[in-house]
Amino acid sequence: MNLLSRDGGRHVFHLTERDRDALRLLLRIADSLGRGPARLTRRPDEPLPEDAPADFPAGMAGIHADRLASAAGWLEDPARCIPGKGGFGLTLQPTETEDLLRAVNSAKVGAWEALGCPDFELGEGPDLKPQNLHAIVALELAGPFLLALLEALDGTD
Amino acid sequence: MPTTVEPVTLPAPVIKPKEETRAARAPGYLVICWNDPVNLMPYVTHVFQTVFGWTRKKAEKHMLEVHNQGRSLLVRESFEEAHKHVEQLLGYSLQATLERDDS
Repeated sequence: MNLLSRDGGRHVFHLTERDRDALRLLLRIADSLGRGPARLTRRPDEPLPEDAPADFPAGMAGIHADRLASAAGWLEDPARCIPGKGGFGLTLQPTETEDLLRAVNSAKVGAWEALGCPDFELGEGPDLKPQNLHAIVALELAGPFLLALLEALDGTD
Repeated sequence: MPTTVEPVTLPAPVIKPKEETRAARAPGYLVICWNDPVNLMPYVTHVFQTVFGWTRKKAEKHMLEVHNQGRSLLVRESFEEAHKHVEQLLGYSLQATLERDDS
């Protein structure tokens, strides 16, 4: 996946069919891994306003699922995916690029959590089991997509 | 002819209450981002810029604090604002929490 252009309020990326397959897989993995309930504080005794919830509502999970579904739909939309040399051009609005970035990153973080949150820099290995092997795939696949999407959003080459 | 001077009653001095200290105002909450070994450094910088509207320089400073010190205090604000920002950061899969600031 490479950024082709960034102008007129839209981003155009070049994707090969292999890129698209990898993105489809990442979004499916993100959907299947899910995320644990997010907590507002680290300390259980943190003084909070009386009406403050300790956890975030399930609505966050719903937003996450909607984002994944939208991103998956863009990859199949013929109006956005224009065939070209060696693949196709995917056109996204900047807000959509942002959502795809978050979706891909959530696949990566969800995969990391599924592997037991290893710190590779400290030499920790993943907690590999037959049921989480796909998480290793997601962890490996996500990086290059994240960098291409950040390049479009941050204007850096 | 002598004049009688009415006694003047001076108004009682108005003692202004001491300015409220920061802690005595509405309690503040600190939004904190914690290090993790999975989010890319440019991604974290991008999220800080997007969520807080910071310059790249300021966002990178906080990203490096997270990376090198394990956490960075991002903002101090009301509970409602802090809650909103933590929710946004979690929506980007960063590890963020809030703490009451009594200092």
